[in-house]
Amino acid sequence: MTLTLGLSPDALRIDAERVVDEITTGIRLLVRQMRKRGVVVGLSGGVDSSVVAALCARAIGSERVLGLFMPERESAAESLRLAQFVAEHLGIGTVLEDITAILDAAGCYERRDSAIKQLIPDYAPDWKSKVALPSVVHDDRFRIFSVVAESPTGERRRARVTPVAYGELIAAMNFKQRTRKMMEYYHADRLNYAVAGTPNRLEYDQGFFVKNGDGAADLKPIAHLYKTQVYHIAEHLGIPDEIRRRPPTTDTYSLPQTQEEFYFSLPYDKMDLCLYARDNGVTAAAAAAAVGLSEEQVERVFKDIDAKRRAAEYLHLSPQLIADVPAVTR
Amino acid sequence: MSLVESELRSFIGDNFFLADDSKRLSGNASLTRDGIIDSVGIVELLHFIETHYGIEITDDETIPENIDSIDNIVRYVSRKLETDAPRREAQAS
Repeated sequence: MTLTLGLSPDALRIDAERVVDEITTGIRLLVRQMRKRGVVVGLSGGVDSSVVAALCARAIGSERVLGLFMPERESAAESLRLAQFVAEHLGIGTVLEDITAILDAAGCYERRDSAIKQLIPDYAPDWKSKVALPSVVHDDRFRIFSVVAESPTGERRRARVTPVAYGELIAAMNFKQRTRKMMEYYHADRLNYAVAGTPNRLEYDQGFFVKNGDGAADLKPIAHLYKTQVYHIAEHLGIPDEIRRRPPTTDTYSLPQTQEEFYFSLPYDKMDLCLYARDNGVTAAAAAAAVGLSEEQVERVFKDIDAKRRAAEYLHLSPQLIADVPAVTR
Repeated sequence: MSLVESELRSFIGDNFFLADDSKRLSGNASLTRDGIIDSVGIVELLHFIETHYGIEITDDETIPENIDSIDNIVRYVSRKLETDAPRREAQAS
């Protein structure tokens, strides 16, 4: 069905109390089914992990939730401070695991630096870097990653990735998410807890996660909620203002990087509306006014949503068998 | 079939697991929308074109009109080879 009526910015409005009830009931049920005694949540100081921790605390009691802080040497100092702030606010237990030594031993930084040097020959380990995508709304260019590097004196270089350098760079950086997940499961095994993942709907749907890294979890309590709705829930749950006001960040690269320039085409509120429109048969023309873009620009975003969804199919795949094993329930 | 088209079909076949299907791939089929290549595939394709034909693809040229089908790539590469040839000769001399 195609809706020709306009899209209202209120389309994502939810009854926060009802949604919180549904999710907390679901968490209790899942934890019981898994025969676990509590939940581990990696806390990044962002709104998603804060909301997941708050929902878990409300569902099974704050004494059964363990918050993990997992900074490394390139994390923003603010991430740890805000994560500690929210944990204290929720009254949950916490453990600090600095993962720098593990990443160093695995060669994360060295392999990353070597990949960047292929693209920017005068890059050195004391430079900062990030990867970035061009905007999808301004023209029809393919969205191809570039590496942006900045010297200690502030000199900036940018280079479009090559296949080998891109593969090596992403593979090295994925150590960060995979190491964090390894630590989460260490504590989950130790305590007989389940691991809660923290993706919102945009991230889950569009594949904004590392397979077997932050994509791995026993339950994902907010994967069905648009980011806008996560903010509504955050307000309802009394998550501190400072966390709700913080712009979404990847906090993975040494240069500051928004989720928008790394992955999504638009700020989250517009992206939410475009995704909602795409999923509910609202045409680009009908969605344009609510999103604040032209019809042509919304069409580009729709194409980008479809392309990311295709790419995310592999990320969502569980290990595939050649033949069924009927005794194992999947 | 031109040499450029044959080389492109061979590259796409070898790299995107379409060894047999690539010959049947329509010249105007969209490589991205038809799910033949993804964003990583685009990076590989650009790299192949740049290194194999010795041309530089600017960011502004990374658009579907140039890159998204075999026909479009053949036209784009042929045009670039023509326009870049005098520059390359000048650099060589």
